[in-house]
Amino acid sequence: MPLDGDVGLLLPEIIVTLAAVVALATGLRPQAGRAPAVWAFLGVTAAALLLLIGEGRGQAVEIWSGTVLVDGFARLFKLVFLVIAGLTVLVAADYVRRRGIPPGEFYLLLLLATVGMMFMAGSLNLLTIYLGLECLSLASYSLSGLLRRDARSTEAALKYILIGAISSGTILFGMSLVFGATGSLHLGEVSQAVSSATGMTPVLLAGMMFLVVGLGVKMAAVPFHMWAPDVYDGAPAPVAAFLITGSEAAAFAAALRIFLVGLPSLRAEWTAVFVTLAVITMTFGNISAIVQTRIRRLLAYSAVAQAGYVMVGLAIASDAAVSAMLYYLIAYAFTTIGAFTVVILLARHQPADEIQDFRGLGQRAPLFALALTIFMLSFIGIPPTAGFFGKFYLFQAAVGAGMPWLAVIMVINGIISIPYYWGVVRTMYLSEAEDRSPLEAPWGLRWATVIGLGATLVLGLFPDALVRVVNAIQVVPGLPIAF
Amino acid sequence: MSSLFASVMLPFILAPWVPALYRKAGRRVGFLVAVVPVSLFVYYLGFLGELGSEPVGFRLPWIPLLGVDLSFALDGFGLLFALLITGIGSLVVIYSTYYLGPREDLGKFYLYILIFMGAMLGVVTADNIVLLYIFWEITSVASFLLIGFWHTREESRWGALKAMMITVLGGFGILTAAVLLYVVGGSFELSALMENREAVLASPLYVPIVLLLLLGAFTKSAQAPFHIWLPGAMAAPTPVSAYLHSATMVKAGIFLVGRMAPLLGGTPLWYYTVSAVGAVTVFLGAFLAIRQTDLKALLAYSTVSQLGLIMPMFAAGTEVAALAGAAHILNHATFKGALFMLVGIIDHETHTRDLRRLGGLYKAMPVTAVLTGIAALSMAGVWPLNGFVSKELIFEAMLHPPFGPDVWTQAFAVLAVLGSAMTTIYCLILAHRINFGKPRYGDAEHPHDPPAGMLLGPVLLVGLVVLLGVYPYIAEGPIFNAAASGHMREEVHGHVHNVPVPGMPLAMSLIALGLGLWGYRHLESVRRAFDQVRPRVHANAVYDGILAGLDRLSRWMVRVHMTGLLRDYIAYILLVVFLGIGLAAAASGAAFDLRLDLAPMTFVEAVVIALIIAGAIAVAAFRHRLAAIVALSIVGLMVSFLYVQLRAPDLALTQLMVESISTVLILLAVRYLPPLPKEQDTARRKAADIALAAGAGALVAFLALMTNANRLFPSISQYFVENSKPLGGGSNIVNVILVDFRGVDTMGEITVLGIAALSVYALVTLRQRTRGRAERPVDDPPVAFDDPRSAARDAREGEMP
Repeated sequence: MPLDGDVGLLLPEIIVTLAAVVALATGLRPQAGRAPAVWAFLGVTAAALLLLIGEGRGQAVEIWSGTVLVDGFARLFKLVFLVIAGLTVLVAADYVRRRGIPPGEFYLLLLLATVGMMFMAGSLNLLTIYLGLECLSLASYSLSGLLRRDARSTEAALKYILIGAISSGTILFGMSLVFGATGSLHLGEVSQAVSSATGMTPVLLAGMMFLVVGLGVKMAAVPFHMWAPDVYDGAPAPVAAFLITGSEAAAFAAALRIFLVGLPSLRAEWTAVFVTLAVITMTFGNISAIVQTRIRRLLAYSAVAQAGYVMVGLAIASDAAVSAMLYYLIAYAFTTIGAFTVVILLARHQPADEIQDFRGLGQRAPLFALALTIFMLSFIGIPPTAGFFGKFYLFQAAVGAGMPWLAVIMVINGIISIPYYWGVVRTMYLSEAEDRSPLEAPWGLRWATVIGLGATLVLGLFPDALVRVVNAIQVVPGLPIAF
Repeated sequence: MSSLFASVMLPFILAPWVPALYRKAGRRVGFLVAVVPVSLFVYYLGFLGELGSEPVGFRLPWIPLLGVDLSFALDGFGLLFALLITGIGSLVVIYSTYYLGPREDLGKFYLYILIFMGAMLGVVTADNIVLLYIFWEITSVASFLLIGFWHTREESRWGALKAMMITVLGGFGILTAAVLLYVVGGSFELSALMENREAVLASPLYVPIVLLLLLGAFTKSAQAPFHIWLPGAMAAPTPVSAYLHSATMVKAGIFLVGRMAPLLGGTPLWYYTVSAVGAVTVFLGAFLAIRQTDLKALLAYSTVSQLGLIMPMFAAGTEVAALAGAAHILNHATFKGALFMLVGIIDHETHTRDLRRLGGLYKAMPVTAVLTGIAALSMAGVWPLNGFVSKELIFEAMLHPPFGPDVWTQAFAVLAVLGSAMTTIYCLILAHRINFGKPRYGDAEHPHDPPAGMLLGPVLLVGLVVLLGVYPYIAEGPIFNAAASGHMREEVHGHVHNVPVPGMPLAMSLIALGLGLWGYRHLESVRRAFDQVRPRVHANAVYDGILAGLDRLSRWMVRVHMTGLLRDYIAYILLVVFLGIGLAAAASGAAFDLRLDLAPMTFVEAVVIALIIAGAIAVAAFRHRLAAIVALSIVGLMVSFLYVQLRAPDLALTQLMVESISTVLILLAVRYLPPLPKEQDTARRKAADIALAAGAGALVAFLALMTNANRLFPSISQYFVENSKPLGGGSNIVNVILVDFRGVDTMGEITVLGIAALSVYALVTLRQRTRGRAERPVDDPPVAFDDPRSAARDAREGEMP
């Protein structure tokens, strides 16, 4: 491994990895207390701060023979992953203790998954992307099964690992085909080779398709989403929140790089595939969610539907669409984690997996109920929430790219989604609870809700700052590709 | 005009403090909150007489990259609405202090009311369509929260979802129309779009834009067939119904039509669509109102009907229509606002809103009864009240349609007259039936007039009803003409008159009143006749049908695709791969060129490959696990043998080791697995599986051949052969590669192995330590993926009990 001065650019990843190890070590003691959570949180925060204020901002630098790339796109995504991880730690602190999950293992796996995501967004090299993906996947399988006594958790982990293995295999196969056709694993070189290669189109097409399928599994796109309802319902709740937001965003990050940087000459082909998948995904997700009675299964199908919306951006892949996608992913992450926080809060006192258990939450925990209402509005895409601007942005991109029909499908889907999202709100406000005792929230959950709610509203009321940021992001880094 | 911006933001800024204020001030909080709408009302009064078609504006960049700015503009049209919002808002805030019981959380109530007020002011002052849409949706949400403030009844649950579904549907319509307008006109700003009117009208997107926008207006203003949400919303506290569901929010649709008319109006599509929907709504609303026995439901349908009367006035584009619309907006707000508050008082005093249990209220609560009578007669259009003034104008406008009278406009007029006749009937119910006759006081023994504070609103509003009826000229210039000018975007100088002028409009009024009077005298037979009408298709049934259909679709979808069988999931994935490659290949029209450059096959190789294939088929075919494992080992062994045959002994050795280890592992795992389920597959299913498997195999074989033909660079082995001695100092090339050329890799591998060994050691010691304790039972049976029980659960979970 050639080490040189560029190692500083990877400092965030190194810090998170070290924090993971420290969290594991502190968790080994029988009376670990808060230490592992605190270490994990500190590590994530330090890495995030470093990304925000560290040197090298505004440039794109490729180091280590083109295996790692640090540019604005990578920085933004890494920051998003770190924020998601940080919020997950906040949400999980109380949960992990109550449910008897070994804290050292939990935070180790959580942070390693985060590192995996960071590498997925931070490279133009297919192999690095794949290693990041595997790092993320293996950690997520274990995270899903951490409730060892819970049959749902075990089943979730098993399903995830089986379908995940197919996904990894497919991606690897796709990457080898791309390599076989172009002779390079570096996306920049792939793109050059593709434009000059002749006769290899079928192989490339097959490679592209395998990559679509493999990444589609991670995005929980229909019809590769079968693991999602079980995992998001059965895995420990903070893990579900983490996977829905982080894992999905990482898959989209990798997809953006692979298809926009590596395979731009197959654009017509992958656009056709992604448009089809996007439409199928959002429609299937929304319609399947209507009859769900378990809150996390509902959120799981909702996650599937939201992945469909994001995929619209990937399909159009114009500058505006990519910016909209980034905005959407960020907005959605805050909203989702916020919603999961309320779910976790309710499940603290009683077994509360059913939507029916939300009856009377408007009286029992008025602030949390109001927060969940706003999260649901954000999911539907109603102003003044972050979700609205995400959808509006995508919507405008679709119409701007000459696909108004795609926008119309998005709108129809938005309407289909009202009954199930709003059904939860209705249950909270318009049904009496049997148990009317007020709910107590530990500070971690309270802060996570406040942050989720604050971000959902701020991104809805003052979207301009983030719009500017995502607008300046380049998926294709402007760096010379010469080696 | 930054004060305009501040006036819209003020309620939003103050709203979050109300709950805290409530904790300090207790029930007097209403009077403190009332300061906000009162001062805003005074602020807007200051614009009277100054604003007409020329707006005052304010603009602040918000999201310039998306073309959405905080741009506000106030003209005479918006001013009329702003005055209603703040004026009626003030009265409602004070009224509800008395109306709401001591146990209600007034802090939350006023929080929502203020948010609603700010959003409503935003709707009527926004100059950017997206901004308007944002405020628009906030009013829907506030309405939901205010409905949910009170009730936990099943019917209000149903109503609340319906209100949300329908109004959000309309909201999405507006948003879509806005984005399409952006495509056509290049801006979200209304003032900028007006400049591009020609381009908008000529665009092929004009028709969808109009229809989507009108969808928004019709849903919000409860026009047929979207009127079904409004009666459901009556579960809200009465002050809320008075404020949102009669005076302000439901008029937002009318506002939208009036606002967009200069841009999109002036075409037959615009005029006839709005007029037809309005005419049907006038008729239907009044018809349904008579069938009600709940006073509030009656008022709700009456509002539907009245809104249908006003809406087309802003689609005609004539001066008299604009004036009629403006006048009736104000007049309707006065008498209907008063009626809602009065019905609230009656409900408060007698604990019922059931018409059949009320009568002779004049004796018990004379003030309330007189006020109710005046307001109701005004709604019926009786001279000299304000309802008469605007109704005359409306009939006159209907007689002078913009594209000349034809059979359609005549039909609209007939429907309007019939609707007005029915309006007279239910107005007489309100004015006469409950006030006179045998005393029936619901659940109360001795109801009486409420405290003065509660009567303040109705008295002021009924005062306006009389004033504007007797002397409408006071509002003619500063309010009616100003609003009409703002809507038309040109100065309007129309005239209102309160003296009955002989002519067609008066005749229509008289017919409506006469018919109504006759109908009221025969009320029971009219009711019976109306109750006979039971249409097979009505809007509620359609709505329920759509929801039930979605539910069924959802159930079916979950059942079909979430089978819980891994094999199905793999089948989906493979299918997508095939379809995707096919689709993409078809899209690119790529020709493939298989440059086969293969070595000849020896006899031994052929035999080995045949064995591999036979083994693979046997794995799938064997019904017994052990046999399948044996078959799998055969495949592995034959592959190793193939390596030997191709002179790659190291590979063969590795393969052999991997094979042996995995076979052992599989055998160890077998004892934990449940027996294989019985064969249940149909022949079709089997055929599909075989086809999929064969397809996947063919695809991979084809790809392998394709890639093999592609030699991008020379083999690397030559490099090692040449350099192993000079650079690595060893003649065993493999050794040199391992320890020299790829030394770092080897170190990494050793490290991994070391860590793995440590983990194994840790596990072994852990096992030894725990063995001392009681042997732990297997707490859960392992979940088998292909277990039909698991599949059944998957399917079950998608269903509601």
